[in-house]
Amino acid sequence: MDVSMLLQFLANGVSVGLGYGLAAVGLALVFGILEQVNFAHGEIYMVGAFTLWFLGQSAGVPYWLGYPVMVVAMAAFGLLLAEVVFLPTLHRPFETVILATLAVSIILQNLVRLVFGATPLHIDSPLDGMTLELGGVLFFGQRIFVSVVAIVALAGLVAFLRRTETGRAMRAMAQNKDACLMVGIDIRRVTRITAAAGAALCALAAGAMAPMFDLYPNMGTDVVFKSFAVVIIGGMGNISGAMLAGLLLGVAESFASGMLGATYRDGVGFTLMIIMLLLRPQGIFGKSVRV
Amino acid sequence: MRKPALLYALAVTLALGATAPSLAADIQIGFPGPISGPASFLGQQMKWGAEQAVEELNQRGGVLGRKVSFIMQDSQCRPADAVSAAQKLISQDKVDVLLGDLCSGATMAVMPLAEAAHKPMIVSISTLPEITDKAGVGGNKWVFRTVPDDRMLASVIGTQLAQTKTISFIAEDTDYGRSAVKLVKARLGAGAKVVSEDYVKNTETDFLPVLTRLRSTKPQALAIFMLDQQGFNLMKQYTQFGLKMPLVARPPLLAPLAKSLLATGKFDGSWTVYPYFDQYSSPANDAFVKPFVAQHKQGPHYVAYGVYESIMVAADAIRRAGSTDPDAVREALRKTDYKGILGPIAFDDHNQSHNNLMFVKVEHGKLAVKLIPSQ
Repeated sequence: MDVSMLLQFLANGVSVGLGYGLAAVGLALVFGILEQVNFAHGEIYMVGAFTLWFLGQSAGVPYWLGYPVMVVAMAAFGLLLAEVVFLPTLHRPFETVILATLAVSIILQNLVRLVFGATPLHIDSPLDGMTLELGGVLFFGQRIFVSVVAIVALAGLVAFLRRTETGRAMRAMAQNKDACLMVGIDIRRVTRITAAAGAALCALAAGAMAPMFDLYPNMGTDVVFKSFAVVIIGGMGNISGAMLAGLLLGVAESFASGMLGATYRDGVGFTLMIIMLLLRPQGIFGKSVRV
Repeated sequence: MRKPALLYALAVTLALGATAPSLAADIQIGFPGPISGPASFLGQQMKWGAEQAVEELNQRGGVLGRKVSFIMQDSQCRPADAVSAAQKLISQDKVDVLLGDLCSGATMAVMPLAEAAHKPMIVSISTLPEITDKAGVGGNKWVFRTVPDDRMLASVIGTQLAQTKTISFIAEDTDYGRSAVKLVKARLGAGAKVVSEDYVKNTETDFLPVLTRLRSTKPQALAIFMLDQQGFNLMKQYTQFGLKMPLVARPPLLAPLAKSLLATGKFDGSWTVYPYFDQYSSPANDAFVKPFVAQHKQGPHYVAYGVYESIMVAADAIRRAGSTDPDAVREALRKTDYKGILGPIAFDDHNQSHNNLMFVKVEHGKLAVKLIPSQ
């Protein structure tokens, strides 16, 4: 076990972990504010990736332009999702939301399969394939980009929730929906904004991470499982908690699969999740939108 | 309420009336396969292979003067779904010959049904050795396999690795991955050392931890057993790590996506053994590939080849049997001596065919293909 190898495990873990965090933040946000579990989260990621691919392949849009365009498009998609799913189920029991979002996820998966086919696709990014070496440790272009996007997105989200009127309204709704109504906060508007922001965050993750892997209609499934593990470890609905839990999971996985063997990788996440549910069901950092 | 009921009855009568005569006349070949789910892009290729086989047979006037058709049922490559798909094919569609599924687990689950229903079954894609062990003499007499199994591939791979001193394995964490590693390990030379063995779930896309370790341990060769899509991700990350050891065993060097990676020259010396490769040029293979590419704008994958050949072998047996009587077809299959795309297809005591294999090596950024006999 040489030191450069351990440092490489750490560097890998941090970059992968920030990616996990970024993918999970949108889920945490929607849960924290709307108290709705979004099972279509992975499919938002998937649709975002396919949208970016489509922009690049069919319209010839370069990656750096296609990426923000796709994020905006997915925010609009989030608004649609709010109209179709979150608003009609706002006052329904949680099973209704789970079933509704699950339905959305199945529909989206098969729709994408119908339109794009099931053959894996690939997005080209100018950063993919770039490697930097610092003191024997390798850093990869696209992964550095994911880390930067994750940190900027989290900082932006935290600032938005703290500093803006809308952000405060969102946090108020997370604390008490009925009180929101009493003080005149339009919870339907907050729901729409939350859904759009959640989808946009997920799209940010998709656009940054998709060039590293393949695109296929089921790609969201793995993302959603990882995101659930992260959100449960970090505390359901806790945004900074999700990012830190993602980081923790990424690093733990990196060391476990590097040193024990790749078979143990998923075991780490789910073991952490089970331990957390047993010992501290509110997650490391506690519940609700504390930013 | 009476009117819709009447209409419904009418519709059913019409539907039955329209399809019944053609059903009776067609020779039907049925198979389960992944139309949906993660492996559905391979299911698509299976369907295309079947379409081409059936079309060619019918252009030549069908078999025994009857039209040939096929039915593919979705299994998602899952054993339980493959069983219900095969049950439907046997009892409702009354197919004459059954083909196996893509995934070995699903194929194994269907085999007892073929035996119970006395239905000839041809395993056209799955490569798990146990299928052969269970078929033919002393076992399931109804199951035949037209493609080489992992044992045959592994023994060729083991022979190629005879000179290798240190080796690492990365394989998918499935029956296929684990048994393939076991088979190759058993055939390594006496002085060979296995540096590491990693098994990853078959949706894993991130190989950084394993590659990081390989950067320190530096084995002479890295043996890979996984699906193309996953192996391609591994190849991409491998190039970023600047590793030098060749990828051997079953890396996805033939995947269309891998082409630009190979062109970099970073994979020179890597090799793979495949049961089929569409870019192998021979008159028989060109005759199969050209119409396929013309129609689908992509070359046939191994699974398309497997399904195509199996339908041809089935048609050949039915022709020689002179009927679709299951016992006659089974006996005819046993005596198969079919001139396949890569060479003769004939079955041994365990109803296993011993096809030629493709050995593909990367040289100067390009693939060099040769045909080698299986052992």
